[in-house]
Amino acid sequence: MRRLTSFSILLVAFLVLAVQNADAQQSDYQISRDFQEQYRSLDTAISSAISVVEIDSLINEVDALEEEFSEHVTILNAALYPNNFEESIEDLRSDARVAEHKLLIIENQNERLSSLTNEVSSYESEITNLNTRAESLRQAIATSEDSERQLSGLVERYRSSMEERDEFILNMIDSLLITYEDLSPEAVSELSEGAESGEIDEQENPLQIMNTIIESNTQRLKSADEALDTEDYLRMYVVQDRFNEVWSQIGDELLAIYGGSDHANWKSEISNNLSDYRASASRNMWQSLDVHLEEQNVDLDAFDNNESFYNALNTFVTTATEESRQKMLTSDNYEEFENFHEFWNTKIKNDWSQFIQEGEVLTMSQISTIDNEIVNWREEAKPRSFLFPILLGVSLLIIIGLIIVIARR
Amino acid sequence: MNLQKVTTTTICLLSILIAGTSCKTFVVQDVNYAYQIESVLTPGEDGMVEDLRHGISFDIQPFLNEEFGEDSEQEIREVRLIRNSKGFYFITANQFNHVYVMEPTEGELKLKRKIEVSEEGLSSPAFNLREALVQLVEMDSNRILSLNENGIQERNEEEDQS
Repeated sequence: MRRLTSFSILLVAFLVLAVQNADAQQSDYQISRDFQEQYRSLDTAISSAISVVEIDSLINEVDALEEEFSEHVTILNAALYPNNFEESIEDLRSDARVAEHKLLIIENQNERLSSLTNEVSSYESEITNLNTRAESLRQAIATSEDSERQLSGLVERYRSSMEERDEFILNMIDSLLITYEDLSPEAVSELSEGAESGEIDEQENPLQIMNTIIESNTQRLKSADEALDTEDYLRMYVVQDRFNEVWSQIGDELLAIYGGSDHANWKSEISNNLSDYRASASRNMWQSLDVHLEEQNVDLDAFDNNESFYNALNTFVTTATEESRQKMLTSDNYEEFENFHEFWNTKIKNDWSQFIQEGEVLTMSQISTIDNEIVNWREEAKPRSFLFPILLGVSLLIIIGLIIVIARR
Repeated sequence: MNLQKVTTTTICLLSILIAGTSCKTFVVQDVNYAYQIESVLTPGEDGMVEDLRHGISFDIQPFLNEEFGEDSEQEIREVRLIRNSKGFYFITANQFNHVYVMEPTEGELKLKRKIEVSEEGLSSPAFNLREALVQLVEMDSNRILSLNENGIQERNEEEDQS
């Protein structure tokens, strides 16, 4: 019974407190201040939100704010003049929608950046594997005491490994080109923000990876490598040429996205390394081509670029054609022709054709001109047959003899 | 002679009538001066408070002198100001025992009524406007007094102070 009485007293006290609380008076000014404080707080939270989930939660809070203060709309319209309650809430919602849209783009860009980074990271790992394999084969060749046949097998594997590596690098830079070319300035800016927010570490930075490949390829070109032949150097020249081409197309975008505060340093370093790379690839390729021609007994004038190579070929063929014209009775020139023709058709137009064209060692127009010259040379160099003139002369002598005999009779 | 007097008087009356007609006052009725929401103003170092929104500024010191005496160094942090529909300003602050009803005149606020609202000083006053009346709300005690320029309206008229 006593318990029941105590409970009843507590209940009454609670009800009295509840009623008093329900009757709590409010200051209009305080209501407007409460609204404006909550409004400012939400506005700040919306401006600084960093995820779509957070924005969605804030949009719910805007709805709750509107519901909480909707009964005070008259007071708030006066307090918020020249704005009003409805417009203020709509402004918040609009800010939230804009922020949500921006965050959606950023989140998509971050996902894209992450995907790009993973892709680049896989390139880096694959190139490292290929480098390791090629280097171990090169070391094996250098230290090999095996028989010539076994050594030849090692060299073949090494060249194959280098070819695979170059092919992979070409695919990688083409993939980079597809990914980064034609990015809008907004996309570059958003990816740049993502990259600067620390989501990319140095080893995954495409600039770092490109620079490492350039340095590694240049180093490889600079170290004498007797295991490689002209075709390998032509391929390496093409890889270098493609690197330069891709850098000129997407270098600015990569620098804008991944350069950060070192933008100028990256630009300078990669440009210098590319120049060095180009010089080394070019020197090796032309020297190797020169050596190959010498081995084929094709003695051209000196050349070290596309133009001088074409001029040397053109001079060689026209000179040989002229010599053939003057020495029509000998077969020496025809052997020289056949020698050159073999090199031209087998190597330039067949085995090396892809690299010759992609690296613009010779243009299609230059190849076509030399082709025409070669046709002329063939005509002039071909050994002449003197049987018909001899038979004709003999026949004429017989006829003249017969006429003289008949006339004497 | 009489005719001359009558004529002179008539001319004078007509002149007065014409002058009276031309000086007729232009008046707009039913003007509502009310603030929908009170202004809470912070006095500057010089004692001036300024309500930028409603375009009024005045010195708070005369109110402090009136409330706490000439020699008092009592300071207040906020002044609460509201205007009713008839254009009277209602002014009070924390620790005040009164609400001051002030009538605006040329460059002046003239005391219309000094309404005693507390014996121990208000601790957390606020003004709300409810139709023609100004409510003085004491937030701590939930006490409400409805005021107009003549004093407290919903309590005994005896409590009004002039």
